[in-house]
Amino acid sequence: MKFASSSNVDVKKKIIIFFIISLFIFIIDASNKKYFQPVRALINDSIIYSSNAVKIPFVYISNSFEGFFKLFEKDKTLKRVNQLENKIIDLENKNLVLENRIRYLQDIIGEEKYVFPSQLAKTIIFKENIFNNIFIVNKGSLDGVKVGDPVIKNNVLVGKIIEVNFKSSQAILLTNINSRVPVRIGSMKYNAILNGHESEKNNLKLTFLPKEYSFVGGEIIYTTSIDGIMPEGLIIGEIKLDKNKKFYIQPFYEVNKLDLVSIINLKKN
Amino acid sequence: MSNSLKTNSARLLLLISIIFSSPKIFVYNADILTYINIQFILIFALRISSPQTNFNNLWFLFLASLINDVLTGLTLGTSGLIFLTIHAVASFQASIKLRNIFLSEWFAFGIAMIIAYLILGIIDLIIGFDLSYSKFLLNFLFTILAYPIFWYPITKLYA
Repeated sequence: MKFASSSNVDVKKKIIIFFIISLFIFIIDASNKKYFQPVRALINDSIIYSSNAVKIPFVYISNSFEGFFKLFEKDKTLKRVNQLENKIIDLENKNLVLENRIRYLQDIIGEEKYVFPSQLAKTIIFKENIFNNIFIVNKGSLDGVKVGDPVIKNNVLVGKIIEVNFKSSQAILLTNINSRVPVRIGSMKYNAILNGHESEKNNLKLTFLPKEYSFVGGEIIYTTSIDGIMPEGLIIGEIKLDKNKKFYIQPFYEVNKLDLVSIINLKKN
Repeated sequence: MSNSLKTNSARLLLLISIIFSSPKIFVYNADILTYINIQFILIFALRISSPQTNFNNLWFLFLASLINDVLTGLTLGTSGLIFLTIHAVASFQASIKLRNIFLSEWFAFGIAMIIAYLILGIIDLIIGFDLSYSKFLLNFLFTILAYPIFWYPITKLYA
């Protein structure tokens, strides 16, 4: 490439130098060398937390505006909170009964028991580009997070961890084209794989369904455990039928409500 | 606008576009930035409108590319290769132009995008990432089509 002025000749040299540096960094990172992983984790953490710090004042201002307008709904909100508190107590009691029944049934059939301690994490960055739709959470390897750990919101599976730094982790949503989750569907217990697929409704697709499958709508989709890579029985969504009786998957989570999530730590009991 | 103000504001614009590039405006089930690469347009338009904008001897561009890689979950160095390619094409175009002619700049931007997306495609093949080719193509087309929207204010401010 030819540059006309003498100052641009200098630019040309610098472009070549930085191009070589970028290529070198790319090769090291793409080759996934073990010695580079702590460096990469450190770079990731420092950039993620610095950019988050830059965002804080703007987020604060935006939240203040929202908070100001919500002041007018105070009484209504308090009433709703009271109702929800009562509902929580009711659900906690029901949950206790169900857990005891499950444990009793597991003992009868001799099913392997798993404990899945989870920890709350805050989504600090949500990004979407042509390669990825990812979100970054504020828990990392120092908090015990590992690659492959499922991410849930209100006990609904939303994605899994794909990269772990020291104090942050990167996760993909179920709708990501690279996401694959073994699932079981409805009372017929069809086994299938749930993929992210951009041309399907809600960006989710079921593959490897048995040939004889048929859906009536309303079948619940939940995870199935294969070698403990995913906990058994995490709810994902349900099957719905459109006007042409073609089924699609309706996930139970909402993308814009993933500011707080839980990361399940996969451990066998 | 003074030269120092031009260069500083250009750097700030690029950094803002990288850090704040998640406006959560959804179009057809995807974030609006799935369709447009604002950073590509900014690097090209800023460099071509104001040739003294060399992003701190390219150090700033390189650091911005690393930030972009981390925040978008790409392999380190990917954005560096793309950003520098776009900057190189813009530098070449800026060195041969005599005055601002929109169509020739847009054409050069198209060429820069073809090279940049070819590199992206090759990187995708190397990493073995599952890529949505329809989104890839849409992103390429909309980025080229969105150039005039950014070109006008940038030329007015920086030329």
